[in-house]
Amino acid sequence: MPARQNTFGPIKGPIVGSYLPIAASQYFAFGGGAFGDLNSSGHYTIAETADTALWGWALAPKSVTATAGLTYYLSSSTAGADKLFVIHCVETVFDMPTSTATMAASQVGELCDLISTNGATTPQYANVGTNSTDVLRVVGGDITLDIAHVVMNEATLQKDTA
Amino acid sequence: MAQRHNSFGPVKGPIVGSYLPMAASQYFRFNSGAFGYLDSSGHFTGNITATQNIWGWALTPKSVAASSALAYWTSSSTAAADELFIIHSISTVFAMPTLDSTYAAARVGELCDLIAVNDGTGQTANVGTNTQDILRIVGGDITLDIVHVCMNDNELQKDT
Repeated sequence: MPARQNTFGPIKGPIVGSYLPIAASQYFAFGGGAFGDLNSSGHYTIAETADTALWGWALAPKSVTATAGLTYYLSSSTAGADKLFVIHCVETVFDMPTSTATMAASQVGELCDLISTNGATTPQYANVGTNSTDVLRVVGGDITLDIAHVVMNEATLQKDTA
Repeated sequence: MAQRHNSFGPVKGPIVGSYLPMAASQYFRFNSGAFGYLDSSGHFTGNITATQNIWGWALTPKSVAASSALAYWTSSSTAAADELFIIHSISTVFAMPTLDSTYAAARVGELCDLIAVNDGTGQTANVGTNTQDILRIVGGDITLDIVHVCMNDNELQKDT
């Protein structure tokens, strides 16, 4: 996984998005996904396991060095102080790691969940084979590397933050 | 300009790009352009005034906070320690600032240069000048002195 940590992100399809303010202290792990939703203030927040709607994927900076031991980009502790470019189109294909769930060819065509906790130690994974929130559609992947290619499920896109 | 400083960047067209390593200590001012080229190590480097080639535009983090008085994002002082998503498609339209009172409707269709120093002062389209001609002007806003540009495909960096 570490050798590919900087390849996770959009790999196919259109990229449409905007710069959006980021909620306070959001962790974007280099080796994980960057899906999120908007809070009631319109600030982008990393999606967590139980979230039932997605807004998009944030193009956070990444790092290839371990000199600082840093494995994530962390937004400011002040809500809305930072902005990142956030992709919101449902046709974009993202590649991201799967967790302990094994990527299999039969997963293509299925919906799945996320495993994610906003913190320094837990990247965001596609939880292939689970169907509680169904925020992602699996459209491909790499069985050997346990990487899933996913798009956002348009049925669970976040439509209203009010 | 300040109230629009987070609106600079891609405004129309396709966005095609990749995460690329950054050269050391590159300054990307929030209310500015973010065009750059690749050095011989393949590291993205901000264009300065006389740079003849152009590779793409970096989607840097921005900030709306004035509390820290920080007006730019800076890459690590270690080359290639940071990676950013770099747009390299030539039909992407980017909004960026021009010098005051230099943009006019007649500029649309012209080529132009950049003004930039890698010190945090930012990158500005130099409409009306034609030394490097790395940008194509495709639109803009006369009142706000904002120009909409594409990269000139003739000056795209083809080989590092």
